[in-house]
Amino acid sequence: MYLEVEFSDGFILNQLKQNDVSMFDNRRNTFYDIVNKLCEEDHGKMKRLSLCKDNRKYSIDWTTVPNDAKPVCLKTFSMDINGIDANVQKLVNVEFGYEYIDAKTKKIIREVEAIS
Amino acid sequence: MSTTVTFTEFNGASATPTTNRTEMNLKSIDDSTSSYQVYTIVVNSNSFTKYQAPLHSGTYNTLSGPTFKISSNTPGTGITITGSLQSTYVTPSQVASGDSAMSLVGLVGTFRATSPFGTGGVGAYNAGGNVYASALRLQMQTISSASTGDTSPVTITYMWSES
Repeated sequence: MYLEVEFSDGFILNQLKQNDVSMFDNRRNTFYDIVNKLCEEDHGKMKRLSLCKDNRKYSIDWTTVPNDAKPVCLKTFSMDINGIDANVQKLVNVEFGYEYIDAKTKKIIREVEAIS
Repeated sequence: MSTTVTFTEFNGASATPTTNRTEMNLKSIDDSTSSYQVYTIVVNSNSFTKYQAPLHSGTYNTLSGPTFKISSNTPGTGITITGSLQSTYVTPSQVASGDSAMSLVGLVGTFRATSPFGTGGVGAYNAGGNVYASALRLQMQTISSASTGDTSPVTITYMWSES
């Protein structure tokens, strides 16, 4: 599973190709660059945000979301410890989409899809 | 893409860490290496308390919701596994910990950068770098009617979210 972002100058930021390491802080991941819009100075606005998982691509046309929207890609994991199997991390589900602050209510609106 | 989680066990008076633990067997000795089949728990006594904490490494944006649960807290007649999440380390002993039966639903902890013990834990961590989640303290407590031999196996599950 990985994220892919297309910017207005055609640049594609691919989480796999970046080895999930931020281009700006090697302790952070690619999503850190995406959510903080760190590539927009060099490559222009985000045009498309995609989550690629199990040969499927879930895409958001970023030109249609509210101006202050932030990407959401929240992964939930579990790991069993029972002394028999080696500890294995399992991806339980992913919430993918975006969130923004509603101008009238000042509440955070989350537009996400649960992907298992 | 995710952080890598390993478990660190803490033993002795000074909380000596042992990394990369893959089991949480409860026994009558405070160490991370001896076999539970050698250091068995005598009926009507308790195991030593055991402290283990998840250590996240790798890159991330935010970590949140570190949660522990157990598949069964009564793995045999007269046997209870107690548990709690701890930010304070107390030298392991066989004295009853005072913890409740380990949660079947989930205990939600916090994150701390350099040690699972101490003040300043946060529910959502975004500073980057290696980080510990709360330490789980377990103990097996038995009464005089406790069944002998191996208990039914139980599974501890650690869950978390990350972006």
